[in-house]
Amino acid sequence: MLPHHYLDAPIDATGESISYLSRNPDGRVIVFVHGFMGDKFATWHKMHEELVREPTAAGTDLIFYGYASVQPQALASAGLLRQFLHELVTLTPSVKARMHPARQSLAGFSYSKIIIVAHSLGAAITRRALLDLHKGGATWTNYVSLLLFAPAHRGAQLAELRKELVHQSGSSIISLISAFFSLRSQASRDLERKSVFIRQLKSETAAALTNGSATCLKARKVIFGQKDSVVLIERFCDDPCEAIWHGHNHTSVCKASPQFTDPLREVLNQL
Amino acid sequence: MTGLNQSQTTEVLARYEPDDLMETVGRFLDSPPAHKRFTLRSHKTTPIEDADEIALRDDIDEFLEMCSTLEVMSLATGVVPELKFDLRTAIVDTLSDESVVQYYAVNYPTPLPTLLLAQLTEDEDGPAHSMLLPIREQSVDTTALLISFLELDARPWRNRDLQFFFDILDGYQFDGFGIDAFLSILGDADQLAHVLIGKTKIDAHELRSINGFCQFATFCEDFDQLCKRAADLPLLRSAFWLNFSYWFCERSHYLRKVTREARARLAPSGNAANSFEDLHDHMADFVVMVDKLTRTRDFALPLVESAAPLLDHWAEMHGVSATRRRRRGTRSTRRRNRRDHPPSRRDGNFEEAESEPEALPEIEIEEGEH
Repeated sequence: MLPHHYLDAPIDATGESISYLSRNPDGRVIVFVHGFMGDKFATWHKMHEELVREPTAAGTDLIFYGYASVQPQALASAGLLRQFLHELVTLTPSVKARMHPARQSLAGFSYSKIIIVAHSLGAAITRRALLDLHKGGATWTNYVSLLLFAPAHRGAQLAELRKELVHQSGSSIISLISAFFSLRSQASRDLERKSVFIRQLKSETAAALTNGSATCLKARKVIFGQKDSVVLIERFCDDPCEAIWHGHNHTSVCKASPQFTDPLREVLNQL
Repeated sequence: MTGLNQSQTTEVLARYEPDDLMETVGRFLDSPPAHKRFTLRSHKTTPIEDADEIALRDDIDEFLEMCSTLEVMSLATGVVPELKFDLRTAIVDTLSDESVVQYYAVNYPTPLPTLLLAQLTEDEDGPAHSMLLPIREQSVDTTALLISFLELDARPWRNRDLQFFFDILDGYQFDGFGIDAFLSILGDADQLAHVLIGKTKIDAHELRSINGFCQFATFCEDFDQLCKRAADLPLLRSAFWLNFSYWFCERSHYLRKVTREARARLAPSGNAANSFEDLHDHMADFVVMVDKLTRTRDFALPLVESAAPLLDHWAEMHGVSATRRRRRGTRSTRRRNRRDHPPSRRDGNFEEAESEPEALPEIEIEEGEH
C-alpha cells in the first residue's frame, strides 16, 4: 500500500517502537527518539506520514522509538535505548524476526548510515547511549549522525514544559495528569542543570571528544525554537552553532506537517 | 488512490495472520450446526466460561476484525481489495454461515462485515457496489488517512498499558484490580503522585492503569483527529468509526460514565497538586470529546444511508434509522469474550450500566428521528 515501505510493524520486544521498513533498503535508517512526556508519533506530528511518501527516503528504514519517559531514571532510559540501538544496527536475530519476511531473507544487508533524530530528553538519553556505546567499542557508532530538536543535554526547566503542554493545542489532554505530578519524578530531576546525569554527560562527552574519534557525539545540527523556555539553549561540547527557528516553542519546533515542512526537510537533509 | 492489488492486500492483512485464522475458522464451520450456534451464543443466554470456547470466539472476532479492515480499504479506495482465492472463499463461507451471521449481525452487531460480504457476492450493480462508485470517481489519495487508521487499529494490540486499560474498562479484573481501583487512585492525590513519580514497580497494576488511561486519552484524541481529517470523506469516516464501534457505540454509555467519573475523581487530586485549573479544563474537554465520539448517528448515518438497505437492521438497532427503537446493550469485537470470562467479577461501588444507559440528554434521539 505504501510505495516504498512496508506497513507499520513493531520492532522491539515491548511493541512500543514502530518501524516502517524500506522495500528496497539502501543501508540507511532514521531513528526518532521523543522527549519527556512525548510519544513516538505525536512528538513529530505527521512526520511518519510525510516521510513514507518522500522519494528521497524510499530506501531508508524509519524507526519511531517508544519508551516510558516519565517514571524511569534518565540513565535507565538511556540504557534501554543503547540496547535497542545496538540490537537494531547489528540486526540481532530478535530484531530480524520482527522484520517483514522479505527483509529477513535479505542476504548481506547491514546499516551503513544511522541518523538519530531526537527531541528534548530524547537528545540527552541518545547522547548518553551513544557515549556508552562508543566507550564499549561499538564501531558502528562511526556511522551515526545526530539531528537534535530542542535538546535537553544542558538541562531543562520542566515546570515550563508543563505550562507549555497545558497551553498547547492538540497535546494529549490526560497526559497533563502526568505533567502535574511528574515534576517530582526522577527523570525530571535528572534533567536539572546541575544534576549528576547532565554534568557527567557533558564531562564524559568532552573527554571522549578530546581523545579522538568520537564523531558520533558531535551533533550534525541542533535546532531550537525561538520561544523555547523549557530547555537551556547553551552549546554542548563541540556541537555546531544552533539554528533558531523563529516563532516556535519547545514542542512545536519538531512537528512536521504539510503546512510546516521545515522539520521534515532537516531530516531529509541528513540522508 | 487506486484499489489494493493482491500483494498489497496480503501485506495489510498480514497482521491478522490470516492463514491461521482461516484454519481455525474452517474447522469451526465444519462442526455441527447446533455446536456452532451454541459456541457463538450471546453471553446473556449462557455465560462464556470455557477457555477453549473463549479462544475460538476470539479467533472468530479477529476474523471479523480482518473483514472490517478490508471493508475500510474498500471504502477508502472505492474498490474491493483483491483477495487470494482461498481467503476470498473463506470470507464468503464464514460470513454466510448462519451461526456466524447471528453472531455478528444480531448477538454482537458489527456492520462492516455485512458490507464486505455483499460486495464479494452481489452483482456489480447491487447497492454494496454502487456505493463505491462515487468514491472511485472522486479518486482522493487516502494513503495518509489509512496509515493513521492502521496504526490506530493496531495500537491496542501493541501497547500493553493501553490493552490493560481497555481490559479493565471492559470489566476485566487482575488480582482484584479493576476499574474501581483505577478510579480510586485518581481520587487519591497521594496515591496518584506515588504512582506517577515512579514509586511503584513498572508492572504494577496501578501504574499500568494510569499509563493506560493516558494512552487511552491519546487514542481518543488521535481517533478524533482521524475523523476530522476524513470529514470530507463521510463514508470513509463512517467506516473508521464503525471499525471501533464496540467502544464508541456498543459501550458508549459506559465509556461516558467512566470518563465523567474520572473527571470527578481527579478534582480533589488536582486541587491537592495545587495546579488544577488547567487540568480541570482539559478534563472537561476530554469528556466533551468522548461525548462527541459516541454519537452513533453522526458517524454512522452516511454509511447507513449509502448502503441502504444492507445496514438497515443494524441502524434500527442503534437508532439511526427512521424506525428507531431504543438502543440495546449489545456488544461486539474480540473483547466481548474476555469480558465474558473475567478472573473475578467486580465488587466495587462503580457499577456498569449494562443494558440501560444513564440519562445523557445531549445524545438522545427521539423516536422516529432520521
